[in-house]
Amino acid sequence: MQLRYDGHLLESVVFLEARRLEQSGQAALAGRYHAQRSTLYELADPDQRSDGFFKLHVQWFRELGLEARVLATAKEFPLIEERATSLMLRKALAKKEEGAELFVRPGAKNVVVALRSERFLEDGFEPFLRHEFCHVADMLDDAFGYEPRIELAGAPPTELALLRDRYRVLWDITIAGRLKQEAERAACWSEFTRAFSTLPEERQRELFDRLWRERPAHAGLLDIAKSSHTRAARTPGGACPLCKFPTFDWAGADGLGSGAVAAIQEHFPNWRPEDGCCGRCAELYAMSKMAQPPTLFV
Amino acid sequence: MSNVYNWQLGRPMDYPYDAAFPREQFAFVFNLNRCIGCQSCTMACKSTWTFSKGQEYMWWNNVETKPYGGYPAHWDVKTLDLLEKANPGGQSWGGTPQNAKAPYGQFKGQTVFEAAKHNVSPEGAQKALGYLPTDEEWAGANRFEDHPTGAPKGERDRYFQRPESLPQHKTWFFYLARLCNHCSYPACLAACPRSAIYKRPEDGIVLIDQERCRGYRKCMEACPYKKSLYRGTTRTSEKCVACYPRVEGRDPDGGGLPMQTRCMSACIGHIRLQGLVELNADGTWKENRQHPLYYLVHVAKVALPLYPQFGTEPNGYYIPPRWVPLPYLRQMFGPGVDAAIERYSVPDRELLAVLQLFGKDRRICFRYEIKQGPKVFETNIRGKKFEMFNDTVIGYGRDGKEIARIAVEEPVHVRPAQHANSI
Ligand code: SF4
Ligand code: SF4
Ligand code: SF4
Ligand SMILES: [Zn+2]
Ligand SMILES: [Zn+2]
Repeated sequence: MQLRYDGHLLESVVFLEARRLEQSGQAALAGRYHAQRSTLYELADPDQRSDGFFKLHVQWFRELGLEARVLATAKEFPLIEERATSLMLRKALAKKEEGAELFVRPGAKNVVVALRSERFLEDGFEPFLRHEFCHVADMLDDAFGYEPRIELAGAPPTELALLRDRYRVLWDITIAGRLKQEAERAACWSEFTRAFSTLPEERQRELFDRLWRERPAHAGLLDIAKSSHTRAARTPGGACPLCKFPTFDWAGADGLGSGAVAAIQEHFPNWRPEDGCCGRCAELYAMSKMAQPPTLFV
Repeated sequence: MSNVYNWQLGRPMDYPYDAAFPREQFAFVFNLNRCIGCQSCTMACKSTWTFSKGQEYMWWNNVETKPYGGYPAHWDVKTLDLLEKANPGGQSWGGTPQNAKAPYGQFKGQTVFEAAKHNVSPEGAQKALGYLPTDEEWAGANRFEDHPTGAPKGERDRYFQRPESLPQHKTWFFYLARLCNHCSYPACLAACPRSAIYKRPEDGIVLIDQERCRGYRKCMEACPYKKSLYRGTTRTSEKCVACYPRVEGRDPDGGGLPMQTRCMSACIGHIRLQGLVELNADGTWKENRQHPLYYLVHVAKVALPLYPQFGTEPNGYYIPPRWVPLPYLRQMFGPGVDAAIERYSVPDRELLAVLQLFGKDRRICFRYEIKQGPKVFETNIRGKKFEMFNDTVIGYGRDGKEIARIAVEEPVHVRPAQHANSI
């Protein structure tokens, strides 16, 4: 497996690590790094200079033991070593950009892990990497049967997003469970209860424990995600089934007069009052049964 | 460490170098009551100076929604917090406001330079107390845009439920437009291990020598306003250059006269007035009664420095927004806030005239005169008598020639009634 680096990530990680060492008393080491770095500014040709910086930082990434930390964690997952063509470390600017992805082309399986520079200095660095590598190992494992596309016939984009989110929550539980990351348990549980809030608590406990202990494959996880899939009824910020705009202002069955319900069903025959709709739509359809139809009706 | 005089703090303070003042100092006044957050200033700067590779997240001028917004995220809260930790409970003001040597009384707390002395690591004491923002903090330049504060506890999102009225709103936000303050005691300059940052003797503009900079990012760590930024492609730090070619009078549009910077000239809200002020040997402002900036800062005292307690003696001044709760403003602009708001809310004849100069001509105004006109309006503002005169303010450029002439009362054109859309 080939190791590949994004130069910007290496530069900022090494810079931050050198700064940390300097502050903790290892000024000489940091001084040596800065001295070497400084000389590269003299290179007039920009490509040569960039190249010089890249090489210098790969060297320091190794010397500071950072590469070894990444590789040691990757080695815990033999499938990655065996099946991945390359492992690339890329810079992420924000927490929500971090994570591992597998890119499959005929004849090549490339793993890309996006990380914030500061991540390398944080306590949870290895556990985070381990978690991400575990996702990758699953994707590379035939027994897991990963399918990148998650679909649900006829579902609007908001419901698909909800399904994907549920799938991710389930997968994360199995990973944390497998890695015995007890520290993650509480966070996983709260994510789980949020995503599966419609299940009774007893069923929630049972399902969660099973996911933590066992290791359902892709299809199994997707089934669970789909099985408790109800129409995304009235989640705050969810899409109104009529106008499709996200809303926090839900009008439920009780809030809609019979006239409005009939008016809505004229346009949306499959819609049921339990599905709810946003306050604006409720208002619009309530008005439509009054003396005059609204002037703007879409 | 040297001992220098900081008039904004009304006292001497420690600074790593001796004081050295320019012949004239680049300075500006922003009227925050008028900023509409349109970001024309931000884009004027970006399209002039920071449109290249490696500058994608670089905004020398930015406009953030206070109290939550910030670029980088929470820069001011973080610095205030560091200072509070260094000097718990001691960051306060005292004394009585005096002349131009101590217009806001005396700051009793510690500046970023003074607080840094106790922050000793094996490499020695820090030059200025600071921190290095993360990539994530630099990435969302306009996060929290238009987010107000003021929802009662436990009533999330129930903002505009009550009618608000002056003097202070319970639900509020405001736009804070910022750029480098071209400080008289720059923390960026103090912290640079390569002496790559310098303050120009002719106009006090603070620049980073791109040939000397080696990307240590100590300036970024030290500047309490976080206005020095790192560029990954050149591996050097960059910052606002105060559009120095314009200030030097080299922009052909100015006909040889010093011009206001790009961000100032582009301001849609006419909130900005930029100029050059003369200084005394101790760094205080030379009395210059008819200079618009001198008038606003030292005579009317409506324009105040941003976080003067940081100690860099910033040269950006702000007329505070009058609807914002005073404790917040006092923290941001010092103890001069109460009087400034009072004066701005019921402006006198001269202030009203000088305020007309904002955003009217792109050339730098060095002097103004007022031609008196008739009284056109009279009312009471919260118990105080307010009279409006249709005076005319005349601004003069470097060469003493008129560059602007504006009447207080806006010219009104009444459309003849025969048009269908005549109001
Ligand atoms: S605002 Fe910051 S970058 Fe600008 S002169 Fe002051 S300390 Fe330096
Ligand atoms: S003065 Fe010029 S360089 Fe500085 S922020 Fe304004 S436009 Fe940008
Ligand atoms: S151009 Fe003027 S009004 Fe618009 S955001 Fe900038 S400072 Fe505010
Ligand atoms: Zn995960
Ligand atoms: Zn709707």
